[in-house]
Amino acid sequence: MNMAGRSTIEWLLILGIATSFLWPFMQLWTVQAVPLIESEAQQKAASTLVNLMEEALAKPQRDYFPTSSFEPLPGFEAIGLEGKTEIMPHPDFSEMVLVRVQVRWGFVLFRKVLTLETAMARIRP
Amino acid sequence: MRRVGWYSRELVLFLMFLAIAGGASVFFFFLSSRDVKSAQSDYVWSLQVNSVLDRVAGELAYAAQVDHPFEGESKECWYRRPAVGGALEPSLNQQGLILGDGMLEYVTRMASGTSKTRAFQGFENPLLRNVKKASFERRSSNLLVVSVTVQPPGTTGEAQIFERRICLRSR
Repeated sequence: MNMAGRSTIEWLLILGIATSFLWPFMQLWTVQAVPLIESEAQQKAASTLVNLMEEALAKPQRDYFPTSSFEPLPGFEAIGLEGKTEIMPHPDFSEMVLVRVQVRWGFVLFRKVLTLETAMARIRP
Repeated sequence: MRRVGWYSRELVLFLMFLAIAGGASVFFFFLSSRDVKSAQSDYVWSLQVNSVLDRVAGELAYAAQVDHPFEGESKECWYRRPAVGGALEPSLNQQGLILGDGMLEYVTRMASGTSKTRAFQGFENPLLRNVKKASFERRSSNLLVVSVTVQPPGTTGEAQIFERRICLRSR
């Protein structure tokens, strides 16, 4: 048995088999639904993200641009949740602003970021 | 050609498969253990609480008028739904979310009295059980914060706080 030389087609087969084994885990990672490991943090992060967005929408003035760095959110120190709210001019429409909220948690390589964006009129109707 | 004994690479392969099989069976035992089952039931429970609160938040965000926590904090919330097709609002008809006996309930209030509605957007009344604390806080004219402290159904878990901030679109 010759271990040294595998032909290209053999390597492709090996790659295909490995991909078909690993792909479901990759999908679980991309939908971030791995049960038992991240589910609680994921739920909390999602609801916090929506809370941040609603708070940004309820702000009386929309024409300002706060700091663009992540800050730790009070009450979520246990999972190390950090949040960021940005209100920026809309790239296409001058009369609108783009609101973007982000939360992130976890450490490097295992960090996850959730983002939510919406566009609003700059001046209240 | 006759072969006697093992090649070293066969031994390595055999040991590797043995290790994978052993690890997999340990993992499956872990998956069917009681800890994992209680973790799963906790997860399902918090998912239910979150989905109820999401519906409540959606309903309050698009309410035509939020009457009761006009200012400050309250254990009840009274609001009016938008009327269908631009009809006039019924003058004395409010929907409400109230906390009583550790349960969050959805009720309807009319001039003749308060009645319990059977279901709220597909969720049975009471919406939440084992509620330790619930508050509806009006932080500004268009920001309402709903905060609920709920005890998981099991005996051991500690109470969890769920919070929703709601931008009131009618303002």
